[in-house]
Amino acid sequence: MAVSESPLGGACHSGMPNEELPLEEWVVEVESLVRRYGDLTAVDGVSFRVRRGEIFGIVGPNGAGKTTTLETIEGLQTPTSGSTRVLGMDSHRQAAEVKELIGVQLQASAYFDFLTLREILGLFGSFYRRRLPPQELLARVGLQDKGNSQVIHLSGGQQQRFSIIASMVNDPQVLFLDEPTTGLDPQARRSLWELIREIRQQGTTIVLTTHYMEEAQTLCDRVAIMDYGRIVALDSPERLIEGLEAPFNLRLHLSTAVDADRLAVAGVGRVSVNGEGQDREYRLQVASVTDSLPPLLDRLAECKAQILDMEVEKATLEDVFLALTGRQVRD
Amino acid sequence: MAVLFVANLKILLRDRLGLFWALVFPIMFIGVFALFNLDAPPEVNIAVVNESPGSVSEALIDNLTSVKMFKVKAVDDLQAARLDLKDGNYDMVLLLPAGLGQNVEAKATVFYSEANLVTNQVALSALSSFVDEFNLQAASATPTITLQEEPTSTRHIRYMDFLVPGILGMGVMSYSIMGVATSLVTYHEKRILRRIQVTPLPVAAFVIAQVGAFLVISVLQTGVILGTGVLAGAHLPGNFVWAIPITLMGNIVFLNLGIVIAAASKTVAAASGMANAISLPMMFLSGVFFPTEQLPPFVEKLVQFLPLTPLLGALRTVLLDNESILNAGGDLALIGAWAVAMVLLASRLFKLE
Repeated sequence: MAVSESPLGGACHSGMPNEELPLEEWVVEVESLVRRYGDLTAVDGVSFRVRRGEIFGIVGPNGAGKTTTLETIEGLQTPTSGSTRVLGMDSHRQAAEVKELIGVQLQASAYFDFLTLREILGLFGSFYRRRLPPQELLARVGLQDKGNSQVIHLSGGQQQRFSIIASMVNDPQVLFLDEPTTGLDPQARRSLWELIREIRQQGTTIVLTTHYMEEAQTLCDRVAIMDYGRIVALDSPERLIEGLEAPFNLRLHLSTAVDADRLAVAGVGRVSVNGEGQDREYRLQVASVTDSLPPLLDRLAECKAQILDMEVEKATLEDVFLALTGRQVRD
Repeated sequence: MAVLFVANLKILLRDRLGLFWALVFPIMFIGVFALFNLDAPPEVNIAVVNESPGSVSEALIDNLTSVKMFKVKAVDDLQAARLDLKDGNYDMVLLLPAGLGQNVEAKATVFYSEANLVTNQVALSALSSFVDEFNLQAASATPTITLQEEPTSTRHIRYMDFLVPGILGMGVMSYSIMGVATSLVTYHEKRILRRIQVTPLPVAAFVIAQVGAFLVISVLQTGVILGTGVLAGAHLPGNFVWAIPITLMGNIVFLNLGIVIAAASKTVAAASGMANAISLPMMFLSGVFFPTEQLPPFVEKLVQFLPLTPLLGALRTVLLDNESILNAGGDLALIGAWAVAMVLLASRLFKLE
């Protein structure tokens, strides 16, 4: 699904949370949440809060406890200890009230066969006190002509967008999206990011999980990085990256192979080597390019290696995760 | 709740495969059985070896020929006829020995094949009475016994009349068990039940709405099956309206049994396998096709407690025997007990985690 096909395409831009937010209101509060399944501790003492109007991401590798955390906030799972509150209400003791006000898109959930999109939206709407007209919801994601189709006749991207509006039939104040872009091609993924930003623009707070670091970095105002059931970092992606000791990446292609250790001159952090022969790429994490480049050039001259190609880029959330855990997120 | 009920009804009505099992499959059964002429009297081929030509034997042969079920053929060679009997070309061979009617020692004899015994039992007893009478006549010259046909007032029940209420019970059972079990497992697999759990609607309300939609289809099913049965020639004198409360009660049992199966199954294949494993034996044991009286006595006593048996019993009481639904009270009480037990079990077992 091309971005331009969506009525939302280009309608909004990514950005920081609204700085002029008059009063900081916490719409989701998670306190010392623990969830055990027998011997397995899926969530191990997690606390965080989500501001009204922000896109909050819970990121981390598969099995980090993201979905369990999200489903506990939604009231689907009971905490072993600790509490989760939504809009000031306990999501278990006041589950019915909370459910009226939130929207939930589950990971890999499908919808009814034999019902049309409009019928499904009408059906789910009938479960709530407050509901939006199906046609209006369909129009928000460019599916207004598909109202009489069934879900199986939609493309993957269309199904995912339908699944999001189906979780918004009650015009929710907080929208929970569990791995919303998993399994989508890059174009459909970008189109969905636009949709999520657009939804936030209209005042809905969004809490999502993802194991795509790039997605969290471009989409989320703040991220909680989870690993083994704990939050290892929580801040805006920009600040997390700036907080790195070596927030820049220097990528080099060299004329001859050089031992990675030889490149670790002053100011160079981790050095990684990817690829073989012509494609061999050296990736150096550096605190400052201007400080590290002169000694690096000297070292390369000693090694009789010439730089074929050099690229400098800011570090990514992926690098943050690597720095925090010593591992890559890749599944 | 109304929207939910209508949505469930739409799902069932648009599911062509499900409707096939609910409506077309039972109709096919009725159609197939209608092809077999199960109610026609058996035809019996009799070879007559007449070694005593004369008025006496002629009269006997004439008498035999006049009976509709007997196809009489005169042959000369007894040995050849007995070989043909062995090969199944004849069902019986009747020997009229020389001196029949004059010599007391000369008795008419019937040869039959034991392999054919079951099919020929009726014919054999008819023929034997003919022969006995004749032998007696020959011996005493005066008939001491005369057979007279006594028409009885009992209505003759044909197989189709017996079968159609059976097929109705079978259709209700298989659609309810299979339909609910597979749809709930599908909803679980597709995480639709989980999706409903995050809305304010209690999942129980969803299941109840689905059961309600199945009950509507069941009324439709009752009409279609009984209508087809009548078209296929079944004579059911009872009031069809009574079939509706009876099948609805049966449905409560089988829909909840379907929910229990769904709770115990992880995949659709497992659910449909378990549904078949339960409903197929019950179909035969509870008397859809044959009366349970034909089972060994102790088995017959046991099968009375299966849920399908009282359902069929009640349906046949009102449809076939044209009796008041009150006369099916015992059967209805048993169905009711099953219904209560299944509802309790289903609500206890059906959990979402």
